Amino acid sequence: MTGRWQALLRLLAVQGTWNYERMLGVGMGYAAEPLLEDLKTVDPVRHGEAVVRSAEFFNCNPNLAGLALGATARAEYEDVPGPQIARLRTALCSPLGALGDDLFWAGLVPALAGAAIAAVVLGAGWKAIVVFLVVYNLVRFATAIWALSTGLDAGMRVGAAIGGSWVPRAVARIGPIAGACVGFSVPLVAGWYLRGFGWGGAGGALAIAATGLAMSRWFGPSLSSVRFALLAMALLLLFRGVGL
Amino acid sequence: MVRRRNARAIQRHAAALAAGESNAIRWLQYAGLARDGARGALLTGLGLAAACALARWLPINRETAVGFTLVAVGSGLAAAANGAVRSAGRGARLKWLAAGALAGTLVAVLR
Repeated sequence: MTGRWQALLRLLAVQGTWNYERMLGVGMGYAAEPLLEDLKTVDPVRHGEAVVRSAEFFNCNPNLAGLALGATARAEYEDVPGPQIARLRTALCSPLGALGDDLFWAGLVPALAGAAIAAVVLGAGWKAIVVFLVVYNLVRFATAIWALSTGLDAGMRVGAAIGGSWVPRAVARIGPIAGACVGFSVPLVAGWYLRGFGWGGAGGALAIAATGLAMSRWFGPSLSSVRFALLAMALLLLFRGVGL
Repeated sequence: MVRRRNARAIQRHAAALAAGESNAIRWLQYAGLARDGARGALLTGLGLAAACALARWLPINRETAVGFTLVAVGSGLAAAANGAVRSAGRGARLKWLAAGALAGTLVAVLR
C-alpha cells in the first residue's frame, strides 16, 4: 500500500470540511484517497465503494483519526465486507473521541499550557512559548504517525491494538499532571498580573473572579466566561458613564 | 456559518459523493479549507478594526483603563478556575489540582 506519507499530511487537515452532517467524514475521505489508490488498479469496483465509505459520517478526536483511517484502508484491501467496515468505523467513533479528548484537550494541552505560562511568569520569557508550541506539535505529529501505522498494521483488530497500546496508560497519567500544572499556574499568573495594582486592586479582581465563578456555576453554559467578561465590562462602562 | 456552508456544499455534491468521485471529495475539502481560512482572516480583520476604532473613538481615562484591566484579569481567573475544576472531576486529578494551586499560591506570595 503506497501513499502513507501523503495520507498522513492530509490527516493534519482532517477537520477542513467539518460540518454537522458528516463531521470529519469528508476530511477522512480526502485523507484516504492516497491509501486507496492501489485498489483502483486491482479492483476498480471495490475502489469506488471504498471511496464512498471513506467519506461517510465519522467523528473522533482528529489526532487519533489515523487509527480509524489505517484500519479501514487495510480492511478494504483485505476484502472485508463493506457493512463490516462501516460498523468498524461507527464503533471507533466514541472510543477514539474519548481517548483523544482526554489525552489532548483535557491532558496534554492544559499540562503544557500551564507549564509554559508558569515558566513565563518565573522568567523564561518567550522561549517558554516556543518550547510549548514545538513540544505540542512534535507529540501531535508523532501520535499521528503512530496512529496511522498502527491502524494500517492492525486492520480489523485495531480495537485490541488500541487497548494494548500506550494510549490508555498515557490518559491515566496525563490527567493528574495537567491538574497540577494548571493549578500551579493560575495563582502565579494572577499574582503576576495584579502585582502593580496593590491589595485593593487585587481584592477587586479576586472579587470579580469569585463572582464570575459563582455565576457560571449557577447559570451553567448559558453564561460563558466570555459573556460574563463582556457583561462586566459593559457594566463598568455604564457606571463610569453615569459618574459612579 | 462555515459549518453550515460546508454542509450545504456537501448536499450539493451528494450525488458525486454517492458515486465515489474522488474529485468531489478533493474539491469539497479545498473549498472547506478556503472557507476556514477566509473566516480566520475576516475575524482577525474585524477584531483589529474594532480595536483601532475603540482606541480612536472611545476616550478612556486611567481609572476606567484600570477597571477594565481588573475586570479582564478577574474574568480570566474565573474562566481558568471554572475550567480547571470542571475538567478535574472528583478523582486524583482534583487532588493534584489543589496541590498545584497551593504550591502556585506559595510561590506567588514568596516571590
